[in-house]
Amino acid sequence: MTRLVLALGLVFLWAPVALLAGFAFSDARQPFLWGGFSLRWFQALARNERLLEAAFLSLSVAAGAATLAVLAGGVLGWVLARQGRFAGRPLFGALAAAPLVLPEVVTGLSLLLLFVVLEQFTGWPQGRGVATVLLAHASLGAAYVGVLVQARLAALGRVLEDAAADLGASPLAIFRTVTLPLILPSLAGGWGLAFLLSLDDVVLASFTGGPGATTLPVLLFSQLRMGPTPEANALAFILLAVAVPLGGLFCWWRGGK
Amino acid sequence: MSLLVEGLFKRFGDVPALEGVSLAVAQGEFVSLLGRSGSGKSTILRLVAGFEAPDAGRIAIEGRDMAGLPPQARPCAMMFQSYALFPHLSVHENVAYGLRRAGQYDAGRVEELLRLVGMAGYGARRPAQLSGGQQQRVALARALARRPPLLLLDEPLAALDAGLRAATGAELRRLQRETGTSFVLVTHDQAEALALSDRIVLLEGGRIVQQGPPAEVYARPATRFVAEFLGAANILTEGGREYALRPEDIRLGGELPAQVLSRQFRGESWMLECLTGDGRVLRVSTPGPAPMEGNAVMLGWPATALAPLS
Amino acid sequence: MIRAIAALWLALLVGAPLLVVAAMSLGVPVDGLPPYRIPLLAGEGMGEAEAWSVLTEDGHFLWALWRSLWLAGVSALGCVALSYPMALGLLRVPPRRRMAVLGLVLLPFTVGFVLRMAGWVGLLRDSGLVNQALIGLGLITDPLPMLYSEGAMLAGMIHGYLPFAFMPVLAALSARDPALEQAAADLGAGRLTIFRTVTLPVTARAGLAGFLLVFIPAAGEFVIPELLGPPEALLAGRAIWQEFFSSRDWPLAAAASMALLGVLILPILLWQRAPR
Repeated sequence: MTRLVLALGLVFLWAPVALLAGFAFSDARQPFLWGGFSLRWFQALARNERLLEAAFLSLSVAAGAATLAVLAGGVLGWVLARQGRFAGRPLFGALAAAPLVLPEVVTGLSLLLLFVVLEQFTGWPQGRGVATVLLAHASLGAAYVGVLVQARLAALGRVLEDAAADLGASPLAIFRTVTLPLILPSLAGGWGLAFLLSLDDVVLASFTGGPGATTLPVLLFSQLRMGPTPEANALAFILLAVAVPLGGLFCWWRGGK
Repeated sequence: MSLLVEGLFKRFGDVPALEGVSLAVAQGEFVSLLGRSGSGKSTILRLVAGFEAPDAGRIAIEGRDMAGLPPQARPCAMMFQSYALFPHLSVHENVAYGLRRAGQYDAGRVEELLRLVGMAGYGARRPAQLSGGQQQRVALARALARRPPLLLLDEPLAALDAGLRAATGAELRRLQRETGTSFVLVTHDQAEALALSDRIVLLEGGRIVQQGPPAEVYARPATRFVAEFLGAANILTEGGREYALRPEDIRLGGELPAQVLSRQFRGESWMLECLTGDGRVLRVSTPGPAPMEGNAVMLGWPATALAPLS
Repeated sequence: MIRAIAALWLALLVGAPLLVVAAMSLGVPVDGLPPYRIPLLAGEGMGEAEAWSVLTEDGHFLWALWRSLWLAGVSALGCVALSYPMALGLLRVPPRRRMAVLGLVLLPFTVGFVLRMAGWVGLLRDSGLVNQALIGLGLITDPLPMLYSEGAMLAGMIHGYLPFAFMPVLAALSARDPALEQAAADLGAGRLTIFRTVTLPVTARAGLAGFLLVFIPAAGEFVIPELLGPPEALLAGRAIWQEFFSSRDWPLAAAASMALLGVLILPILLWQRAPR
């Protein structure tokens, strides 16, 4: 019974995705009609400069936002797990977790309005663009990294850090030789998560990005509002073709443990 | 016969767990399955309860064949090592769980069971609010609720403090007598098995190596394994045969010269390790006063204390 | 020192934006750049709070808010209801192959949210695959209008948000003590009774967390209704987006955001209190 639902659930999850990937090879100009096998949409994709530009921008923003998110989120998680009780701790905790659940439109609008007001009072940031999108995505990613690091530190407990202190390590040395190596998997996982979140975001980027900062999801969204395109199918296939072997590699690596 | 097990075989993947186990438990009998971890003792319990299916063999409870029956349909009840109390239900509802499933819920019966295990008045608590010993009693009451003819107990005392174990064991024994239920208890603790059971069954590598009343098995171990597992016996080889010799059967002041290597105080006695003149190391239990380490002693034992091993 | 840096980050990127939205909701729209004036920030007192009177007097927004909560509730319930049997099914797969099946569950999400919705458009539109198949089988002659419906929107929402419910439910189910369910079986409970009286209550916290983790963001969802829902469907996320981008009424968009946040504050607090 449960395995039947699992199978049906997999069909539900894969149907739209398999459709995209399959019709990526259709020669027809209509995106979901079969017009014989062809690679023309992959060629069209390779020549589509707007899309390639948006993809490159998205990857750079995602990498930058994820890196910033790991730095900020690591600090957030460490403070939450290791600083105990301090004045304002409940507010601190609430703000650290808020981006995880706040509806995107609210986060997007609030960040944009902040940037506008900031510019009015300080002159920075001048207009909206790559930097504001990056900050918005970093703010979201940092919340996820913070949760991961906090959970990891809480699970580890303080024993190992206490042992290092007992053996004469300074606070900085403890962090460098004990804490950091132990939370490294969480930081790496958090970086990946923040990267994917940034790469998948439409709403925050629409609010905080200017005309010069059109990320790939924003471009795809505006195109899809006009109707689906066969080039998008080709792009979906390429993403799957990258993700499947990576996922397989991860499974194999985890399976070995 | 309360429980009849014949020719039970079970493997998990490539690992054999049981290799032909046969066992009979009489009405109202208290039987302990004793062995190290991996000896197959818990597997027998899980097969009888119906959580796993045997590869070969027959299980009958009260004369009824259990083949193909799910746990729900088997008349036996199980007490889990972790107690498996439902954390989201009160003590009262935990005990009532089986009664409700059978449509036999009766608040009076639940109270009676709680009184029986000395937990009257705790009905409204959650399991997390109880001590380990109290949880153990609730688990027992829950298992006994539907008056099963056969109760399976998986290491029922293992999670308790050493101090609680003896008293709780005695309590188990009393309840077993009062209810007339057959008990099959799994344990790795030889003292527990010896103290509680009518009969102990020793398992090694998925096979039964010896069974019988505790005093008999203790006095006449059949194999070297049994002798060493029950009470750390000395193994002597004489005339090409192996014999078990209990430390408490060796007396100070015999004909065999030896030197004390070490001594440990055990409360009611001392345990000495002695090196004999012919180069053997023997464990000797003596009520004391004990000789000092390094002292020379003389050892001796009656010929009847030697138990031949197969 | 380190704590101060962290607090500054949160104050600047989480706290301050919410305060600015609150202030903006008290402003008035004007022609020009930027298209608003906030009496409060100009030291002129609270002002009229025009946006708030529009919001409360115009039934449109309240209706949109109500519809959003309804859609989010049904989507979250759907996600949790699908997650339980799927996760239980996954845990019955032999451990050697379990990672691979989990990969199969998660891989579709790597294609990206917008493209997945494009897939749904391809499945459901008049010339889409489902209609082609039904016509090809001779079951219908004219295509069924499936896209731009409540159903399409719901399918997209569940498809989009499933992992948020699936992962906590899976984690709780795989961490549960199997002895509890065995004890229930031993005491005579059938499969469904075991699920109802043991499995579900024991994992209820994770189920609730999964529900809220879908419900809260889904209540403000904009992209999925825009791509798959009925064009006239009035939802909070859409209302905020339109007021901001089309009508350029920033105070009204801000007030609508505050209103959405106001109705979500209870579920958010509930989620933050749930241990993770």
